[in-house]
Amino acid sequence: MNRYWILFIMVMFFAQPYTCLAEEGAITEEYVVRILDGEDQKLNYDKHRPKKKKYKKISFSINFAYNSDKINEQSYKVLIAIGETLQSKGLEQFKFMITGYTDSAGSEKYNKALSLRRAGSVKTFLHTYFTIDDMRLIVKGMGELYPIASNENESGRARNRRVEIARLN
Amino acid sequence: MLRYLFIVFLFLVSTSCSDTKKIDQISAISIAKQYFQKKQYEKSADILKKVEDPKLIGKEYHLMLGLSLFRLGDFENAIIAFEKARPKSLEMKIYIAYLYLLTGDSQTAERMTNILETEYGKTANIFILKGNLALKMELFKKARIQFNRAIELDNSSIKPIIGIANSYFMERNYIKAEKNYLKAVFLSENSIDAYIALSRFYQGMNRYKDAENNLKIAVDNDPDNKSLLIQLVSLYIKLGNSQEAIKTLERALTLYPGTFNLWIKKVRIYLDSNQLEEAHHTIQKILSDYKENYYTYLLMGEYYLRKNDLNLALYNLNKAVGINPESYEVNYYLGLIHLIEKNVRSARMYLEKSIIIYPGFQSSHLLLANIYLSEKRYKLAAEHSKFVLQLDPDNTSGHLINGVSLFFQGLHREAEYEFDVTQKLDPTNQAIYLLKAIVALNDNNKSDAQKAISSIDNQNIEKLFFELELFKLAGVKKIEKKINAYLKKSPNYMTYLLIGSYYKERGEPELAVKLFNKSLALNEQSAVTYYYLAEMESSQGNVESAISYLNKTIEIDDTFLKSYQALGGLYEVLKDYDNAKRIYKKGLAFYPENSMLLNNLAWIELEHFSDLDSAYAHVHTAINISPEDPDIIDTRAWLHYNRGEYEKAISKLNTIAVEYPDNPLYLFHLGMAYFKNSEKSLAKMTLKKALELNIGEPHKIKIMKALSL
Repeated sequence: MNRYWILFIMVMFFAQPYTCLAEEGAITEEYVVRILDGEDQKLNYDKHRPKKKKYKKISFSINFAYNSDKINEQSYKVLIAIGETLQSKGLEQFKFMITGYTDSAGSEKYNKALSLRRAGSVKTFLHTYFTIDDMRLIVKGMGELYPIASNENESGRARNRRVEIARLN
Repeated sequence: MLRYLFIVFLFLVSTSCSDTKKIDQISAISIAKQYFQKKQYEKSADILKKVEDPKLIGKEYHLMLGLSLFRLGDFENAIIAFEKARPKSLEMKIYIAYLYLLTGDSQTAERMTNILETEYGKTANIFILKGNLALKMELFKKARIQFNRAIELDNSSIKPIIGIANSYFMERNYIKAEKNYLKAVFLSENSIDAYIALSRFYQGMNRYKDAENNLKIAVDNDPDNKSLLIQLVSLYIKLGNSQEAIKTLERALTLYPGTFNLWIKKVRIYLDSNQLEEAHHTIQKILSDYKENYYTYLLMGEYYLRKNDLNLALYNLNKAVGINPESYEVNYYLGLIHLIEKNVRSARMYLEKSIIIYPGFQSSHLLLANIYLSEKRYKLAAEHSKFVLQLDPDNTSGHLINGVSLFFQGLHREAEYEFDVTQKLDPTNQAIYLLKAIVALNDNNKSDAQKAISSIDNQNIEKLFFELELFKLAGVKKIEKKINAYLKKSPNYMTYLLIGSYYKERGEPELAVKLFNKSLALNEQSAVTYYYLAEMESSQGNVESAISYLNKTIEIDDTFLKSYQALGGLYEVLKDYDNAKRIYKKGLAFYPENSMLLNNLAWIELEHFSDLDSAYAHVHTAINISPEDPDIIDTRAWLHYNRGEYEKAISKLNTIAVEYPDNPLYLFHLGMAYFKNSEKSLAKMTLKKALELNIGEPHKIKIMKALSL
């Protein structure tokens, strides 16, 4: 009994001063590395909150001739970069959706058709100049739907005139 | 049993649970941790720095401090803290190596990498680190080899793909760069880094629409990500879209209200878009939480500066510097305010401190360059502007200042090159065309002058000035038609003034005076017109009329420097030294660091009031400002002479006499100093030369007296 008391007293005497305070979560190297990796840049989600689908898509401003699906020369460099990407090692097994969008000038029906033709032009370009199987590229025309900026001004309309390429699988 | 319990009780009482100082320190750690976990790194760092108890300063402390400092951008101190934590994990050690790279210490980073490779072997992360090291050293092919090796070991990470993309971008192979950035986005699972890298690439290519659209896709995917929101804010700021920037910032602040940096950004956007009241309102909001933070006072100082309330700006900036004297930004703003208040010496002191603290701070360099330009110290001005251009080759102000410095050093071709570069960078900048016109006119290059002048906006009155200069150069006589057309189009006082000065230069004083008087009739409050009239009177020998006009200029504009200089000189001609002294002193009240006024005042104090101490004070200040000005050196030397310090006088006078051998006054002073120093033959030779150069009286008489001895 005496031994245990002595041991108890020794522990109390030599214990770190802050044992009288509640211990909080320790900051470890692993924690620090996670923060350095950017984990503190987002909020902690409620576990029950439904997970949002993350799209691997990229938006491009491809220039077409007015009212046409003819691609302007100044966009060739962009399309070459896209083509080289889609045919590169690591991406060969994926399919991609090419979606065309327009601004709100013109009728809905017309814009939908134009956007589909433009997406088709991009597909043709990629298929012609690169080793990309036709089956890997799917086209869609969304017309003036899903604008990403206001159509009230020219800068907004310019942003809405775009092509998006999304990885499907 | 009770005895032991009593002993235990005694120990409990004597341990730190009753030690209030230790409890404060422990509380501090605990509070710091709470702030840390809430990501309020500013506050956690502040508290951690105050902890002194060595028992509490352990690994956890160092890790917290290191990370807080990292998030605040203080990488150098973050490294120190992390190293004190003695990290054991490879990931942590790799991050420290990255921090060395970030602070520019590639050697240490490389050394660490080699040690890690020896210790841990070849891992993907080590290859990525080696790749980034190679990128920093601009060894692009080597970088890609390392990144590819990383991919072979671990093809799930997109960091090496981004590394490869960066290497192509730095090599200006933009298609391959874009290809890899796109690949990184398509292959990544958590694609924030990939989207940020892609967006930065598009910004680098001036494809801002694509940059914005893709950042927005990323934000859609991850709406609460602070990094993304900050990237988007930065992009909007770059695009000048302050509305969207504020909107995005407000969203970020709703999610992360304790992030001081976001508040700073918000205030800055308001300040830059001139929404001053909103800026003030926001600063007031953060003042309660960040009262001890120097940056809050810095922002307040900027706000008052923009409101032109220099007193309150200075008050707040002094508070900021009191809390943190090592802030380069605060020192810069203090320099700026002192410059506005014409305290050039104080301004220089603060600006130089600013660049000692942060050598790469371009704004301080540019302001210093401007100061040196105004002091005609062109080489020093060029040093600073060139430094800025090394950091930022597209800096238009840097090119402009460099061009002006080169021009005044007589290097006209080089100056023209700089103006051409500035024109390409900023073709709307009218100052370029004015400067190019000056260079061309100076070189008598009519066609280049014509070209530059034609690019000047017709709204700029300076265009008229340059056209008139071109007429002089081209020897065009029949310009009355053009002048009459100008007068018809814009018969304002400035037009009369410019045309009047043109005729003055052409040696047609009557016509000039007529036009100046017409200018005065339209605007009685034009100090410049009175000044020109004073010049005309002075050239005709009508000193008193000239004095009267000059007094009028000062009455209208008491900061008209040239008037003080000219007026003082004219009073001296009339031997009215009391008024001369009064005028120089008045001018110095506005321009305490004007070396010409200082020197002139020192001279009359010395020669006409025998006030050697005051003369010394003034010439000493002048010489610190313009150490190579021969007139100032002459005054200083004459002061030595008057104090009986003949050898010192001779030493100084020799240097200027060699450089300006045809200045009779310097030779006279030198001769007299030789004479007093018993070097009679040198004295005679020098004084004779002064006579030959037609030195005026009373010096002539003094020389003749000396030579007769």
